[in-house]
Amino acid sequence: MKSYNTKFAVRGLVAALALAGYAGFAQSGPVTDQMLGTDAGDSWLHTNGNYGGHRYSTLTAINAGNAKDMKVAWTFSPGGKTDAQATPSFHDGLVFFPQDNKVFAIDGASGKLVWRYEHKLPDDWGGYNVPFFTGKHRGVAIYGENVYFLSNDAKLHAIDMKTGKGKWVKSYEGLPYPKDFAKSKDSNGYVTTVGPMAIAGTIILPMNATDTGGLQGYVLGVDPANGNEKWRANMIPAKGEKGYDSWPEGSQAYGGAGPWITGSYDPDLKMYYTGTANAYEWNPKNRGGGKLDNEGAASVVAVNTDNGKVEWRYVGVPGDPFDYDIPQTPLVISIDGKKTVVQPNKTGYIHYLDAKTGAFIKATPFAEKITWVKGYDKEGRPIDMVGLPKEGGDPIEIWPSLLGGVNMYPNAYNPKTGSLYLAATNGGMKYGFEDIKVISNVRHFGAYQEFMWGNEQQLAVNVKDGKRVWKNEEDKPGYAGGMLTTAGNLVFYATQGGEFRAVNATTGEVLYSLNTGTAAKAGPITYTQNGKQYVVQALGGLPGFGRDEAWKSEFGSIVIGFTR
Amino acid sequence: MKQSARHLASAAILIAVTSAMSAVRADEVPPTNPMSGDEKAIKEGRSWYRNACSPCHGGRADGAGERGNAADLRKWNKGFRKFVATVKGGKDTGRAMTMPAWGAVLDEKTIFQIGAYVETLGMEGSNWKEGVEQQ
Repeated sequence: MKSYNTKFAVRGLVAALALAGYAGFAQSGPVTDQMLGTDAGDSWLHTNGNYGGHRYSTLTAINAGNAKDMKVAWTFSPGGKTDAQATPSFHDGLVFFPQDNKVFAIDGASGKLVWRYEHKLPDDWGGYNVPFFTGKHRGVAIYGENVYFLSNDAKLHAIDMKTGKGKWVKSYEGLPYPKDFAKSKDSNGYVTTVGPMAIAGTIILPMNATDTGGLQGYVLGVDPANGNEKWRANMIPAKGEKGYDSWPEGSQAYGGAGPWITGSYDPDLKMYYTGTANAYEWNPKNRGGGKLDNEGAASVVAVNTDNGKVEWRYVGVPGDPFDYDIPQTPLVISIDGKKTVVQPNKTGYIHYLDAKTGAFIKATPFAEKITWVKGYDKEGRPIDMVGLPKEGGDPIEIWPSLLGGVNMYPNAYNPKTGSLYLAATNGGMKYGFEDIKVISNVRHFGAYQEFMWGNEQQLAVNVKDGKRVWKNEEDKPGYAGGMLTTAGNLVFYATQGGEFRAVNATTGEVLYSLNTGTAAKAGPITYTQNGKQYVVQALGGLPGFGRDEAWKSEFGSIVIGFTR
Repeated sequence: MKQSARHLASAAILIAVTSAMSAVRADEVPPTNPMSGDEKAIKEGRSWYRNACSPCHGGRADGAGERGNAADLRKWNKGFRKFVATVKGGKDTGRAMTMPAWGAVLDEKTIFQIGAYVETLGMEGSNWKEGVEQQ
């Protein structure tokens, strides 16, 4: 691996000056280790904005005092065939945006296409739930002179940042892609919709197969120069690890627990933090019936990035019988001088953990209605979890639904206001179990749900005490596409129905809005080009999870650049 | 992709779809579901539906699943034969979220059982009796 530490030190210095407020010194050239370690400013290098996953930018040119003057600078259509879920990245004049197993590089000032890279999925691609996932991506990584892209079939692509030319493609041993169940006797496989993450010297690859049959989840650390695997961290404990016996022998192999949202990193502790998916199958009868913890699933997992050793696992939903995976990005935040992992998740709670040890600190509720549990005790265990439905019997009503108090739509943290900004909802479900059916060796959920839709909410929550600061609420179900916050005392988001907004970060007051007319399922970003601040929001697909009646909107696909 | 390659790809897709559909001969499927009203079949069909179909079509079969924008099956009005044909051959939506072809992995009895269950959820205007509707 070629180090970008010294070679580009001068450029790094320029970048540091720019971040310190020396306008006009935009970050340019290869992305250095130093650049990776800074908060988002002129560039937006990480899917989640910075190592800590804050989705916070230091830019202030657009601020609460002038956001009302925002306007559309450009639009670009990637011609999407499914939801646009990717948070774009930006560096050195180019916006990078993945969609439908393509990566687009768009001029950050004009919105014009600069290059397009395309990957063709295998002819036998298919299987259980796979059409739902196909074409979705949540981001790319940029490091050195490359854009790193994970295609749906779990291949890593290194693409020249300036030309779009593919340099190499890497597959990984033991991580098959799912095959059309009419063409294969075993259709289990990994579908990667998640964005990779670059840290100094390593590209982090989350690998998930949870709801395409349950092959267990991993985080890979690979060499940025060639994609070679440096280490592999198993989310479910292996034999000899603590928590192995929290699964019946043999059930781990199809236990799920895949990481499917880009995590966060602490460069001092050298730990990568990720949330994980539900334990598989959803009906827990093959994995302890809800009575065993199924450690590693519905958990927060800390991985040592020097060697891939899992340092700790915290189980947020022991035995997870409700598809309450907690894959949301764990934010690393210093609270009263203590490095804390803060994770708002599906359960309706914000979990606080010691970043070094994983010790439980507290869980504060943010969802308005929570019935699945009465709270968490001081050890971080759920108090009085509801009883499970009988297989083949009547469903039970619980809140939140399995879509969660928050879902995949990214949240943000602003160190200046001290608030978390959540893309939330207030909905419940009826949830029941059935026999587990198997096709092409793929175990199906053995569970189902009937949603009780609640309204979309955008919440500001004080990170210290977990108390609500403000709430904006829509009159329709769903979640905002994702949150961005800036030093200009702003929060940006687009509602699920596609209304893009800039709001006052302190009060929630809407300062600018534009009805884009199509669904939002991605978080916005901001950057500087030619001395001007831009905010970019990707939109596309249909609102909701299969429910479009409320919005009466048609399928769309567009990326919009705003400025003032 | 070059134009000729596009034509080849289109032809391949056409052959694949035709091949899947050729397994479905409308005149071999009865005009009405022989398992309609059979409680045992309905229960087994419900279990299959909730495993294989509800992720997209929803627990209530109203199209409000977790996994996509699917048809509201409570309003199915294209008859039993068309139901069987669609389950077997799938449906191309023109987007990534397509209805898979289940014909190679679900036997006819299972599809009939699923139909018997979904029929019980039918709303006013639904139709499970007439033959394949011409498009």
